[in-house]
Formats: sequence, structure tokens, C-alpha cells
Amino acid sequence: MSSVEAAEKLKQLPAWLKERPWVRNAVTTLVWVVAAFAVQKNGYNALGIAFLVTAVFITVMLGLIAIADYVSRGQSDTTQRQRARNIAIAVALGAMVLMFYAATIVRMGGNVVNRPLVIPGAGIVGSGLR
Amino acid sequence: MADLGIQADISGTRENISDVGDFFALMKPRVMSLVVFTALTGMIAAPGSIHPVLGFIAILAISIGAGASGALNMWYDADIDAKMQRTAARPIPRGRVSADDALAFGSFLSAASVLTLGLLVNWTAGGLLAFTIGFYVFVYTMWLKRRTPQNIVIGGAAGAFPPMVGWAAVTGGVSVESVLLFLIIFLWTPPHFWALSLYRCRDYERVGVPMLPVVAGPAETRRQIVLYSLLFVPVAISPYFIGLGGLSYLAVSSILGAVFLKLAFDVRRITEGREGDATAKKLFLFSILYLFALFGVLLVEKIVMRVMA
Repeated sequence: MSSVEAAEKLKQLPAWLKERPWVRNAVTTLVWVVAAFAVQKNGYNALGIAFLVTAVFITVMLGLIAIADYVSRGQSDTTQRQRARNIAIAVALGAMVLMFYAATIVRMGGNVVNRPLVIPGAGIVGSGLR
Repeated sequence: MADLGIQADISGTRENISDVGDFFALMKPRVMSLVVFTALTGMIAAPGSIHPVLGFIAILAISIGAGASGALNMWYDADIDAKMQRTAARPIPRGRVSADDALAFGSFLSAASVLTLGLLVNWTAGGLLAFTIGFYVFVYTMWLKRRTPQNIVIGGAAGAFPPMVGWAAVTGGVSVESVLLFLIIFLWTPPHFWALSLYRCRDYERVGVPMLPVVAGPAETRRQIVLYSLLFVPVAISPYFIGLGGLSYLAVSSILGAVFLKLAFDVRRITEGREGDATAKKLFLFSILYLFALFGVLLVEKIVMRVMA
């Protein structure tokens, strides 16, 4: 399959998903089941939290798409294209947040979240407040 | 322009009709795939290791940086793209994306890719990526492309940097091996692109881009193709001699290099009519295969070596 054909298929994906709301629900459920297992296995360490953040991200994104689909019913083609662009930007920004989160964990180690928020005598960590 | 039947509106779309796919097309996905492949090879071939998450981020940033420079190239060249058969269907000449949107999109992604690579991986790789984007946009697109027939020779450096960036992402530096990977693509570009321009030279002539066949004529271009091929093939084989490639690399690069040279000499020999065009097209297509094979073998060899170790 050429990249042009792949791009064409990708373009049809939102319409395909729109006709099958159960796919969104199934994906959301599956993501949460995986996240739950990951947390159960790893606890609330960096990896477990990463799974939970991913699950929240996917749920929010799919929810946004569902809401946008509902709101844009009967709207013009131009509006629908605008909506697709907005969703793409939202997904890209969300993915960037996740990517920076993952890279922070990788570079600083999993224990980066296992530190006291308040150190007696030193105040709130990182805030300069005592 | 009328003969192409295209209603080009490069100043901006009147209606906001561009969709996500149009912006994706701005990033030249085919070029991006080659960039991803060569950068990945540079990364795997480099001594040392990188965490898979950081490796993925590096490849993503490099590919987005390449895509961003493609978008900026399309923004700047929209006027001539509209008049060339090969590029007339690009999003800006078709009126799908406005020139302003393309500029904003390319600029944002350029900055984002460089900052991401620098902050999350290392600043040597980030700096090299910034240099690559700057070289492609300012040196090749804006300066050389419309001024000199050597445009593709010097500008080809931009396409040769990705394996170096990949290498730098792992090692944090530049070495002889990574420079050799750079040289392979750098010397591959002129015969590859001149073979294309031999049978697309009317396009370049129409828009006044001084490609070698337009300025010096097809005969000189064919001679230059042979000369650059004679330089390129030994360099393509040389990774074996500095220990970067193994025996299978030597075998593949030598055999396919011999075929490459034969095709280059064919281009020099068969100059007339459809057969001449067909020979140039054959060299153009084979050059893509050759480059993929060179980097593919290197990649497989390194992966096998790591698995066996």
C-alpha cells in the first residue's frame, strides 16, 4: 500500500468510527482494563501511573471525538474539516504531553514521583515556599 | 499553467477547506520514510545504546523535522510547483492549503522537533537537526535551487544528515563512521536526482530552475552522472573497510554497486529518444533500491550482531 493510499484510508477512519460508536466504547474499556492490570501488577509507581494517564488521555480524546460528532451533525463540510483539524491538534498535543512524561521518567528514573511533597524545614519541594 | 489544467491559488485558500491529510501531504511522506529509515540505521549502527522510548522519540523528532522542512520547501516553492507536472498536485498549488498556513505549520514543527530532540535526547542531535532543517530551507531551497546547477550537489547534504543525527542521538557526538554514512547519501544524491531531471527536464526548464540538464545540456549531465557514480560506489562499499559493515554488506554493496555503475554507463551510452529516457528512469529507480539495500543490510547486520552478542 502506498503512502497516498494509506493517507486516504486514514481519512476514512473518522467516518468509519462515527458509524460504529461501539468501537470507541470497546477501545475505552480495553484501555482501562489494561491500565487496571498494570496498576495491580506495578502499583502506583511511574509505570502504573503512565498506564493510568494513557487511559485518561485516550478516554478524553475519544470522548471529545464523540461530542464533536454529535455537535457537528448536519454541519457543512467546511465545519467538519475544521473539526477534524482541531481533533488532530488536540491528539498531537496530548501525545506530546505523554511523550514528555515518558521521557522524564526514562531520564530521571521511576522513583522521580516517590519523593515527599513537603520536607520539614525546607517547605514545599520546588516551590521556594516554606 | 493552463496546459496542466490547474487552478493554482498559492496566495491562500478562500475557503477553509484543508483537512488533516493535506497537512500530512505537506510533510512529503515519501521523503520522510527514507529519512526515518536512514536515521534508524544511524542509530542502530552507532556504538552504545539508547533507551527504546528515547530512541522512538528521536526518530519521531527527526521525521517531523524532515517533514517540517518539506512543508517550508513547499511554501517557498509554491510558485514553481504550480507550473511543474510533478509537483502541481501538491496541497498549495491545488489550493487545499494556504501558503500562510504551510509556513506556520512548517515553522512550528521545525521548532518543536528541534526542541524535543534537544531537550529529551541530547543537544548535539538537536543542533544537527536544526542545522539540517536550516540547510534544506535556507541554503538549498532559498539560495541554491534557483541560482546554480550545483543546487542538488550542495543541497543534497540536507538529505544526508539524518543518519548522522540518529548516530548523534545515541553517542552524543559525530564520528568517522557517521560521516561516512553522510557521504554515502551525499554522493548518491547527484546521480539519483540528475537521472530524474534527465527525463523531467522540460518541467525545470519551464520554471527556470537551473538543473544541470537545463543549463549544461543532457550530454554533460550524463557525463556527470558517470563521474559521481564512480565516486559514490567505492564510498558505498567503504563501511566494510572501517568495520562498520560486515561481509554481507560488502557483498550487497559490491554487487549492487556494479549494477549501479553499469546503469550509469548505460545512461551515458543510450542518449536518444524514449530508450534514453527509459534508461535514465531505470537508474533513478535502481538508485532508490540501492540506497535502501545499503542501509537495510547495515541495519540487519547490526541487529543480528546485537542479538547474537
